[in-house]
Amino acid sequence: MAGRDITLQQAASNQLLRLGERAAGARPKLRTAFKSFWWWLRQVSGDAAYENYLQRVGQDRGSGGGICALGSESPVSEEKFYLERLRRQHTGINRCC
Amino acid sequence: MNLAKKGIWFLVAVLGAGALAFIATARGEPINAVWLVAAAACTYAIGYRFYSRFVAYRVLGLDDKRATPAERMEDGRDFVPTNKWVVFGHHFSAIAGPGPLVGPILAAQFGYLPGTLWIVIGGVLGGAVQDFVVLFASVRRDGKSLAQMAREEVSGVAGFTAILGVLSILTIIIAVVGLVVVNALKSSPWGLFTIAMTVPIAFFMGVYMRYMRMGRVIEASVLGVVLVMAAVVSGKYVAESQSMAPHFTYGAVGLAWMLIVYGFAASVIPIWLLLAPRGALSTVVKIGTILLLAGGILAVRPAMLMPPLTRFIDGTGPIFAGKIFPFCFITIACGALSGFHSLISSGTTPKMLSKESQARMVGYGSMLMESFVAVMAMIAACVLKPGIYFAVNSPAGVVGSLPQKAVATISSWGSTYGVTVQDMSAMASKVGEVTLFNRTGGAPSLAVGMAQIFSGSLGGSEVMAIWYHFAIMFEALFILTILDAGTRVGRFMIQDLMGHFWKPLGRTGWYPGIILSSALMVGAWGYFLFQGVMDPLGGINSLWPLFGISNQLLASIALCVCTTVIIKMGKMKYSLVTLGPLLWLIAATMTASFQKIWAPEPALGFLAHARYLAEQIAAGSISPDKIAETQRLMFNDRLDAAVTFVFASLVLVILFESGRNWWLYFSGRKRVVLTEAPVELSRIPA
Repeated sequence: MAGRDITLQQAASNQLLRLGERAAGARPKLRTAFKSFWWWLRQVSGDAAYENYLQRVGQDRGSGGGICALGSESPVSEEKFYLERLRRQHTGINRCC
Repeated sequence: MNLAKKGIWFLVAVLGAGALAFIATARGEPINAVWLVAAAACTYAIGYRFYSRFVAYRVLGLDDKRATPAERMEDGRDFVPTNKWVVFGHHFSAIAGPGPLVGPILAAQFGYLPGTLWIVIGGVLGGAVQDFVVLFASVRRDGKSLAQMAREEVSGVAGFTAILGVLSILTIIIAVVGLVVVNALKSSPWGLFTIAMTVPIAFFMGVYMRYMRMGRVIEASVLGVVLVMAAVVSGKYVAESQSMAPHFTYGAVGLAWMLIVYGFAASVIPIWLLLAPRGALSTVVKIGTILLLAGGILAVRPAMLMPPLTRFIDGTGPIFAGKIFPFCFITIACGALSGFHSLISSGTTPKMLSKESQARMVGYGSMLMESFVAVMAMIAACVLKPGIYFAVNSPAGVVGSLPQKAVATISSWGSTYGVTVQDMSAMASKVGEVTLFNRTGGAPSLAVGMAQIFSGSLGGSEVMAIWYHFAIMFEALFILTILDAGTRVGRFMIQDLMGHFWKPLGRTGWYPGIILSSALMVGAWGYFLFQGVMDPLGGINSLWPLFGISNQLLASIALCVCTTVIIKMGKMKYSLVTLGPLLWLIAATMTASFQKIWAPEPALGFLAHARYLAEQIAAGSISPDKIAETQRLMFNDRLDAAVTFVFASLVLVILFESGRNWWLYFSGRKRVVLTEAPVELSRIPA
């Protein structure tokens, strides 16, 4: 009986170990998933719009103005960019019934 | 596809077909709402995997080697190649509006079966195809708008019709959604307080994003949601306070004026202060609530108490008159097939796609999500006892304004519809309202249904009032977003038109022009809103069909453009993909228009109702003090008939123009000129 108990305890601790290993393996995946979601949320909400703009200006300069002709102009301030973006968003139909 | 995948898809098909068959044949005992969810989810999965793939590669020939406008015309502002999940998020939040929630609620008067079948089948074969093909057509044409494509692909007349259609639908949609808000908030201090608080909350968010943390939409939205939730909870104390409640208790006329003032103000004050923060807040609350509702339905698995078919399929419904065909299809609108979506599909979305193949997921997939939201709205309406559903949604002019009279009328329809004054009082008390009788427009019954589902999974019946007012806040919040954004866009369109007559009026920064165009736009929808508010039949009976017809007018234009594009691509044998939904739409729209104008029953036909009122005046049945009001109702009936006639005529014009072109192409008398942008190879890796 005692031998059976020990076997059960071993089985339980082995299972816990396996779960722990799996959880440890899952943690980076969870972190990656959260990071991806956060990146997506910042892109959809517009939080990352100015960063993206600056990045594009830099890329365009690097390519000698070959991407979108943004590199030929000096980057606009964050405030000007924000207001201009809102104006463009609300000039056309951006919401449905 | 390997054998295992084939097996899985076979099981999905069997489950979907089984669920649909069960829903269609179940009689007697109420069925569980999960059957509707299963039928819809399986049909969408099959539709997306197989039908959209067929449309994408056989019909349209999507080609990822071809550069999209986002790549070819990249400017870092409008044209930007964007991750497909980000474009999907943008597109879905743009197309998801109040239409797919309100339409199914109203169509539930026929029972849950016809509406659900149309939402699912119409979504897969009609709405999603329209959104997808318009998006594709715009991507191949440098991101052109629907009106530009109609002009270039069909004719100049078609292009002008599209512009007229957009302006008309904007006017009618703002009026009708305004009416839904008015009916939801009248005599409800809790509801009005919550919604009123969203304005200063939006101001705070606007200031936060402009001056405190530039452009931080997520932070501002989190703060906004917390403040709005605080407003929902504290609304209870405002409603119970003897001193504060009267300041937030208004009738329909007072609320209509408030909306008009709000619409005008939103159109002229800076975007960053009101429109942008409200839009952000509305999007967060909308997506959150939709997810919450989906989770609630799966957690509670409520029974559908509404019968599959009600006695009102014969056209005698109290909420709106008219038989199941065509009015079920006109009423549901956005949940199955919405012309308005084609404006989004040919707006910013085509300028963001980095690969053509993404149009399938973004265009077709987003519409399926929208359709699923409509199924959930249908469930929320049908979990209510039918008697309660009809007591909330029926206008006083049909069932009577006194509670005893209303329940007697509704209960006389049969045992299925039995309801008592006590039932209604208990429900009103549970949701923290004085009364729920005659709360037409769909929003209050949706809120009651949602509150029932939410409280079943979170908090129990003690918090049902909080959930009810949360649901009202959610509906009103994003309806007001349509109202303010729509008024502003309408203002720009009017300024554009006025600029042709006198240049300064067209300048978007010139204040006299801004004020005049805003006043014209607000005056146009305000008139129809007042018409609805003053209507003894509740307004929804006349305005919602007008909205449905105008929305289908836009869908007709979009589907004509899509069919023309497919024919011009030399794929005439596949043109039924868009021609089929178009023919169905024309049949429904023209029948509905004909009946709304000329039907002899006063409850249905505008002209018959005007004649009926004239006869009442002639017979002396109208008291002298009511004669002026009755004459105004007669004028409104004739105006609605004229507007419907114009919409129907525009549908015929666009159909004639398109049909003529199709015949000329078919008979070889007109040379096919494909107006696609020149092919350029993509440098973006697949």
